[in-house]
Amino acid sequence: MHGRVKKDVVEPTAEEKAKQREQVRTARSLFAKLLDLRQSQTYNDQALEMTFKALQFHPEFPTLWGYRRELLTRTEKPLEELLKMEMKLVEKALRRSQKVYSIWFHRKWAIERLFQEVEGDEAKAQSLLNTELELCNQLLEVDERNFHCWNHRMYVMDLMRTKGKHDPNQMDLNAIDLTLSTDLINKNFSNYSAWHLRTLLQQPVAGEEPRIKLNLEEELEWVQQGIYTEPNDQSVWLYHQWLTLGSTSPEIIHCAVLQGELYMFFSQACRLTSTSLNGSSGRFEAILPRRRSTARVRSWAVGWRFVTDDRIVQKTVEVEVAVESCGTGILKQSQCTFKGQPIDLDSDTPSTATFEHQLPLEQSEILKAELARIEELLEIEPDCRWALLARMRLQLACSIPEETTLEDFERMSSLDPLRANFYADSKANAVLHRRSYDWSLEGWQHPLNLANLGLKHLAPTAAALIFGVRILKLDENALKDFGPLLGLASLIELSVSRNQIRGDVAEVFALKRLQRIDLSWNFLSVGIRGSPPQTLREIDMSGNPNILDLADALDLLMVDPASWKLQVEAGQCLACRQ
Amino acid sequence: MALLTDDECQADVVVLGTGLTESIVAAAVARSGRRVLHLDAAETYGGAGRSLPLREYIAWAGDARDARMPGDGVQAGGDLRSLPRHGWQRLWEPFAPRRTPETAEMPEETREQTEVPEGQRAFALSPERTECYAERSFEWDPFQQMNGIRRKKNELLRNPSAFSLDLSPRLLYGRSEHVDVLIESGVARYLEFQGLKFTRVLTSEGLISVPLTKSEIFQDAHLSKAEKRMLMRFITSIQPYVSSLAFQSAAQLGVDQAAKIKGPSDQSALGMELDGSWRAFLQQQNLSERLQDFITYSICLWDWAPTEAFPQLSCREALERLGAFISSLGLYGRGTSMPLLFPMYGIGEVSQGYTRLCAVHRGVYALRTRATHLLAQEEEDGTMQLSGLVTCRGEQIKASRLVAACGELLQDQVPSQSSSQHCRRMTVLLSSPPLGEEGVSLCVVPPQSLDPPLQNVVQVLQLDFSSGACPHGYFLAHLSQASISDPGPLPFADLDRVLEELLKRSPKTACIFRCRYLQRPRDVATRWDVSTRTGGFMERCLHEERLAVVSDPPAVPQLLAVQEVHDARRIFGSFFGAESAFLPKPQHVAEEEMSGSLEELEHFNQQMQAQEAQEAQEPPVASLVQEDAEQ
Repeated sequence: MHGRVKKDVVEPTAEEKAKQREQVRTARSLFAKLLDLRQSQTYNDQALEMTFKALQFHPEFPTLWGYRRELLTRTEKPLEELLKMEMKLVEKALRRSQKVYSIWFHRKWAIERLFQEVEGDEAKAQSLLNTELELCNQLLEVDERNFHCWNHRMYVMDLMRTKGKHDPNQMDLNAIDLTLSTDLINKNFSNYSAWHLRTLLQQPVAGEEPRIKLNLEEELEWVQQGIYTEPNDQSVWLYHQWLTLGSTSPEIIHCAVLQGELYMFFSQACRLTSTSLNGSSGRFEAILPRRRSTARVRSWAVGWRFVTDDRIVQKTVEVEVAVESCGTGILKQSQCTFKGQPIDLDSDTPSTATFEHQLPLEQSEILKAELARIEELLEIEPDCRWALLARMRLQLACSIPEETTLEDFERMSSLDPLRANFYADSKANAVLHRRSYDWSLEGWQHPLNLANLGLKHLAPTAAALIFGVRILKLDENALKDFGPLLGLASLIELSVSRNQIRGDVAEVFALKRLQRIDLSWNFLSVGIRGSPPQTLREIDMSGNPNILDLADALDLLMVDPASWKLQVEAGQCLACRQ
Repeated sequence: MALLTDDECQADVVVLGTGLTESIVAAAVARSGRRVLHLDAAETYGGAGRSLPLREYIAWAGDARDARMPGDGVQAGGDLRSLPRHGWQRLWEPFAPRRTPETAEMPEETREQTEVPEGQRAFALSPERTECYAERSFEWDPFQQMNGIRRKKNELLRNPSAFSLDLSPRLLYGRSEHVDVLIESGVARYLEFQGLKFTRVLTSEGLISVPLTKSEIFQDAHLSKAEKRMLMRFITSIQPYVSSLAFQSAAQLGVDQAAKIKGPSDQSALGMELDGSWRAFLQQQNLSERLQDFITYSICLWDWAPTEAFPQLSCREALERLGAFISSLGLYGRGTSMPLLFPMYGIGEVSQGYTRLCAVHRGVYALRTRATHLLAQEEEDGTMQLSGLVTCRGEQIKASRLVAACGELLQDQVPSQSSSQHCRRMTVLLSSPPLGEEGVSLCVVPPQSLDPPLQNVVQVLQLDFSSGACPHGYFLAHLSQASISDPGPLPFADLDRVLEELLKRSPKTACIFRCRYLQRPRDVATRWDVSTRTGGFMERCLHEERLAVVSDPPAVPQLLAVQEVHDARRIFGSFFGAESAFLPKPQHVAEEEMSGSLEELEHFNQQMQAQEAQEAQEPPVASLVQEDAEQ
């Protein structure tokens, strides 16, 4: 079904063509008639029957399905019978073409109605759902990767789960799901949906226990069988990745105090639902929001600041938060606590505390075992890019590798040139990690040089690790916006020269401790008047094609343009506070 | 007393013998519009590749006592014999006007004097008829382990036509020249096939299933992960030559441009010498010993152990076999992973399918009819030209071309060469499936699996009720082993050991009968003595392409029907030129195939028009649904 054309490509003969044309002509007159009827809002039984015929002939006709829905909602006949007939019609259409949105939509609609109709009659409702499940199974026999069918099945299963919540005689739906997934994977493991169903079953949903607990080692062994059988298949690697690295819940990596304010950082983006500091409730504000989150929706973030008027003076803090996180499409809820001494970002003693967050021992054992298996595979299949990628991911999760050990990324992009940019990004991120770690050994007052890495964006999780940096050089990257940079409240000097940042210069005024900033050679513009922090002494805006006249720009930008003056040197143009 | 009418005695081509190849030729000739007369000296269709009901099988195998039945001498079709004697006799009579016992028992001598028409000469054929099966033996309860063997025997003999026992069991590749011909000619419509369910290898660790597809390799519990990888890798590296969707991942199907496989343009990229040894090539590929055995014996279905005396598998041959196997995978049937098809009721049924096609195109059939003389017309230049033959009933048949099975024309018994390739066969009836699971399936036993090693690899074909070859609840096993050396005193020792080994796995299995024989195809090159008068004449006819001789079913490959269609096509081409169409698609088949999908639409069209005509009245909706469900 995949990688195959939809229709057979046998050219019909002239006679057949003529015949078909004749048939199409008849059908078209019927369609035209029906569309007229709908236009005139005619709702009668004859129209119902005509749509029946027309849709049997040509089911890929959303308008007619819509008309049929209108007819059905307006009929006075007993709906249950009609809907049962409807199910038969749809089933017939589905057996002819399984990849038509309108048919699946209509089926879902019919089930919704029919479910309402039979409400109260347990046996009927159950048999309805059972038939539906059976149909899905049959269609999955035909095409095990039909996502329409998978979606529909998911919907039916959800109905069954809600219905059977309080029913002690309920079938074991989780076991049914698990069997289906296992069977289909055994049949052909190149099946993203079946692996995905497995991950869904093993994840806790909305605070509940996971539906099924599988033995992790057995699962890993099983997926390894698939990997060894066909290492070029993405679907097995996705499940492998989920098993090894994907199912984690958010944790607090570290807490830090900067100028009397408390900051808290998580391992992944999450939303705080309730928070308390030292036993009393408080409010946190997002400072490192998830990528692509707009200013309006900043509720998902990696880094948070405790909102208070008082300075934090305690040596140790105790934070308790309830968080929501989002993994593989499921909302997860968990509790996180931090108890201990936050990192003092105002001191000059070097600290690698932000990098000291350890994986649980159990998990790191598993990762090491998997690394060994992948090494083995790479001995047989040195050119398998999925294996190279998985190895790299596992290595990065276990340790912070030296920059020189990252040449696998070049190898991957030469093996897979279509995704060269992806590998370049991943590499840039890995290098960033290493540089940040080296820098953290030296101390906060040292400059952090992240220039010329080819970074397209600064990941919020990466920004969380370097929170506390005072002098940051990001020149000659490919940054497209300021992004999480604006959350790095500790910055005193920032240099983002020669990037591709678009946006307004006034955005950087959010950094309240900033003294010097180099914005030259970007695509910034000036439009919003802002009040620069009192500390800001120097701002370089040269080389931005949207800022032609720097004097005008200063007028537009500054509340008090008079206190600024331009310093024009060779090829550079600085604005300095007088 | 003549059986054939004068009109029927005029033919373009006479075919002697109803074996598979002969039947295909006959069908092709009749299909091309020529008159065919098809004769067989035997009682049944199928020639050397026939499938017999139990009584006939026993009689053939040598135990005549058990085959005797009421009213012996008149052998009718199977079912009638189950009736009491007076019953079937009465039933039989109206059907048998053309054949009377007298003709069968008419002494040969009377016809020796058959007058030969003016200007023609007769060349006598030997009255003896030989078969390619030797050293046949049949035993009930060979291991003396059954208590009620007498009762069981009677029970089985009561319904002997529940059996259809192949003398030379054959399988077809799902995608092969033969299957193409079957489908194209329409003969496939007369036949049913069973896909082989699984294949096993008997190793020292037990019966192991051979993973054939990606999914089976994934699920296999015997292979190590590295072995799985090596096997898959081997298969994908071999892929450019033998393509099959079954092994390909989405990436390699061309969805992913970067990973699209660019097949090497010549075999040298594989590092393969086409004429080199396949074993050596497999070793190069880092395949483990047992994977090498799996590929050679159970995928390539190679018949010979790597001993010096035996033929060696070349890479060319192996690639062809691998290609035939892999390209047939997953073609027919759900849940059957093997790419081989077993014709239901045996291979004899396939030749009967062709005879049916021939009969549909005015071919005339006569069984129990032997040719006693060949007739020749003296040409003006003094040479003798084949002009027809004389049957055992004295009918003179006019035909300018003759196709004959090896056994039909054999004049002088050619001494059997002890060094020629032959096949040791053993057929047993068992009370439970010898391969552990029901279903038509195959098992190969590489020589090293048993200790001491076997002389050569053994193939076991398991048949059950679903194949139509035996009654419900019984299982047939055809064991075979190719050999080249002198059979020696115990030719079936290896087969017995394999059977014993298989039976060990299920101690309750009873062996109800065992039949053993050697299949020794005759050498077509030395079929007759050219120094005799008849021999010299036939040699000349052969040379002038007026006579074609069909060889016996080959001993190797033991279980595959690969040569027949090829031979038939060659014979047909030699008679009528290579450009004449060989079994083209019949008109009605072509028409039916064309309509099919459009039928529904047409039907709907008519309905629509009828509906428009009586638009005023409308039937209640519910009845429409009813109608629909019935359709």
